[in-house]
Amino acid sequence: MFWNRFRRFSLRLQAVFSLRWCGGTFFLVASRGTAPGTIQAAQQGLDVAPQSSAFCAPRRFLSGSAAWCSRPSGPPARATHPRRFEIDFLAPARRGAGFRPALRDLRPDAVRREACAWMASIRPQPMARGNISSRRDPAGALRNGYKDDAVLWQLLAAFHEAEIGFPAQARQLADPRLKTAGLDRYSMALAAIALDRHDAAQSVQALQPPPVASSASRPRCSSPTRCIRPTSADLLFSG
Amino acid sequence: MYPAYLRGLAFLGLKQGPAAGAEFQKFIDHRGVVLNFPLAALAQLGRARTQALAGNVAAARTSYQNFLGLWHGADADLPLFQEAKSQYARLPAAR
Repeated sequence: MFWNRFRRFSLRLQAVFSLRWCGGTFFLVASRGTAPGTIQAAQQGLDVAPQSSAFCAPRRFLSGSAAWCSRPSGPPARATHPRRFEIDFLAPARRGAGFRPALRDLRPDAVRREACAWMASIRPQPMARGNISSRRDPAGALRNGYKDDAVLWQLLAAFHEAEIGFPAQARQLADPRLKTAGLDRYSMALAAIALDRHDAAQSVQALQPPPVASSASRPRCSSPTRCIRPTSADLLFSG
Repeated sequence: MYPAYLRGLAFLGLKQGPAAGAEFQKFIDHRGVVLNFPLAALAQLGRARTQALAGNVAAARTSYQNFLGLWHGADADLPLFQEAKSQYARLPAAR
């Protein structure tokens, strides 16, 4: 009798909670309606598809960000400062050749802002002011001497602006001087899309694809950790 | 994941729905990779647009609902959010 009661209680408990293995830790989570925004979305009449276990990590991350982003002061820096990013920054040797402090040093803030951008909750700061890594990282990359990265991140910022629906800011970020810069094809595509959202057809047409360099004329890597190509990033950020 | 997103946009611009949908689907299939990356949410919208382009209204409706569910707390004056809601409202009713 006791066993039956215990079993019924256990089944009821399982209907409400479940034990999930996520990121090396067990979490006791509610079995239904736990994804951020599910309840509110259901109240709005939206049918939110059930989340799979593959959503485990993002759900953990985002479960707090919805509340963070709704705060007038924005998310607290401490809450989005994952220890792993601190380790990345403090122990560059662990990262080997792939470590790039220029892209890492402002990462905690970037993570925080990205989480809000993911939720499309970007006020009170507009998208253009430091909500994502691409906005602040050009300064960090430039400070550390990675001019190519600075150009790329600036273009990514423009691309994000264009995608979210702020073409004027995208145009402002995709500097008109880019059309004279010898960007690689990837950067060129980003610039073209950022400008195209602004109906700047002439600017898009002015972007000329880079010539295909032969192996003989291709510049050699000048750094043991990464290849720094002599693009016209020097033109963009000279002085 | 930028290349996949750019390819998706390019295919969408060329009105090649299935190819664009396959690119956006990569974001949805690899959520552990994209984490809180903003384009991961936008990929939902991209997939909805490709499905609408292909005439798959029911799937497009579901994808739009997923996207709007993700962005339930979005700033109301966000141009993309308004555009998505408008496109969702313009979807023909399911038969």
